[in-house]
Amino acid sequence: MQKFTGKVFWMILGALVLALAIFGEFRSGSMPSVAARVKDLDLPSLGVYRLQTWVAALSCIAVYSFLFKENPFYRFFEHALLGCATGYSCAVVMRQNLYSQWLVPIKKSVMNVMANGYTPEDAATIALIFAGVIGLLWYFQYSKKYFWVSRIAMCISLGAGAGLAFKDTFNQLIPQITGTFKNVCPTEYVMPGASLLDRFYMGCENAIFVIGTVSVLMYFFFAFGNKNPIVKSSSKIGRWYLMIALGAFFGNTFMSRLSALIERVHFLMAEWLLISQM
Amino acid sequence: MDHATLPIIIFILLFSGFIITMIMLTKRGKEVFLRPINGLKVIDDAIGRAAEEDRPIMFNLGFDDLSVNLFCSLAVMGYVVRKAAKLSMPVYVPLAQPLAYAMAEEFWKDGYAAMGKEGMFAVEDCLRYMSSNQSALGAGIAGWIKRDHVGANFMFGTYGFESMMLAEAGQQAGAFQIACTPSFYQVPFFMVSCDYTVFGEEFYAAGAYFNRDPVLTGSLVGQDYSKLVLLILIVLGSLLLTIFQTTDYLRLLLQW
Repeated sequence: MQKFTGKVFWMILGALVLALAIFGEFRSGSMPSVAARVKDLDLPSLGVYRLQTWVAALSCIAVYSFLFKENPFYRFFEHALLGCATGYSCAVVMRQNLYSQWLVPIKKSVMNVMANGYTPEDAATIALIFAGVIGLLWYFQYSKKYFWVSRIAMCISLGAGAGLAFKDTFNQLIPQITGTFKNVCPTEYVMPGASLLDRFYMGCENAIFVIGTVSVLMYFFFAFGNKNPIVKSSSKIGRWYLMIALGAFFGNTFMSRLSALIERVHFLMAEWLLISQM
Repeated sequence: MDHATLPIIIFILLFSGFIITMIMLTKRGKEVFLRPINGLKVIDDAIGRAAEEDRPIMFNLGFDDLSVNLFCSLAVMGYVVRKAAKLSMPVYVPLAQPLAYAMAEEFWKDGYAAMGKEGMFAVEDCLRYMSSNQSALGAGIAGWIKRDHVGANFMFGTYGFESMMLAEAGQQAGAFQIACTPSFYQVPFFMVSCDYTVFGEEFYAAGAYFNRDPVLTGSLVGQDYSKLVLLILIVLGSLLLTIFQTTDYLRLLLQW
């Protein structure tokens, strides 16, 4: 009975929203705010704008319907989104990587060499052809016999990635270490003109920072046993620090996600149903 | 081009020295203690529960392309696939990166082959490239979890905002969920929706934890010694600064 009542409630709500949307659609032609929006978006006609809005609104509702349960409406839009995203990323890679960063520079350099003769810059650009060849080796994944060839490309990618990461890690590490040196008892010499209370606050702040860094670092020791009382107690403090930080992250991110939800609800009410200010 | 400064060269030599020495010692049979990590200890329980309920297992590899993170996740995936193969269970692997697909396929096939269950499940059914778009990936995996009523959901690797979508879908499906990620901002979301969450450096320890491979284990121990050096340096720097009210010379030395 309860399930049936729930179903009826949602059906009535759905019918009401649809009725509101259709009513809004009839009003849209005479609304100055809608005309202004079409102009803002530089769209060819009101029809195109309304079609866009309907598709966006239905997609939105379809995705939210997942909160209820997995359903064919959600499934359709899920597959449409997956298809669109994959197609779009293919087009982006073709256009922004293969075409503009690989094909065009090579073509330009070949023309330059043919017209003006050899230059080291042009030769370096033409060498990009080898990058394309290495990239093509990935397609040997489809061959059972020559599968091993694809591992060459794999190894080159991994080697380059590891080398770059190695350099970056150390470049980032040093400033982080020096940034952790904190004065836990600042004197007049380092804080001229500051009151004793201000210096005390600064000292406490710095002490909390240093203790936090050290204890969290100790929490992530894996090979040293936890039997050592210093390691054991520091790990516990480290865990507290981590939990406080994670709680702060959670609250902060939750607020930003709530803003995203408000933006979507506003879109549905203002642009689709046309019942609030745009 | 930026060249390494003298302190960086010293750090590279020192840290690499620790790691290489520990790898060599581990290879020679040195017993190494690794602190137990609860989230990793229960992986067998999660697989067992899914097998009891006759529900499939899902192993998410996150957003990682060919990187260290991907290899850490793959090491655990290999273990999960072997365990699942032993129980004749399917392991679904949704992927966000085309290059990661090739690697995951090898690990997946090897896992089933190791247990003599090669060809038991079709690769196309179990490994699916979803999308490198976060929203599409989240929507696709959430739908997959619900449709196939996944029994154990493992989320390893790097995640963005889609973390909550995946974890919530698993939670709704009643799956046993274990998340293991270096993405610090996503940890709270995993914590509220997963049974176990492993995070930060623990993620990198996961590979060594299961494999007990001398290279991985030795690296982990070597890194611990490197961290100890950093810790001493931080304490020393702060002490010197407090005593002498300046560490300009130390800063200059490190940034030289």
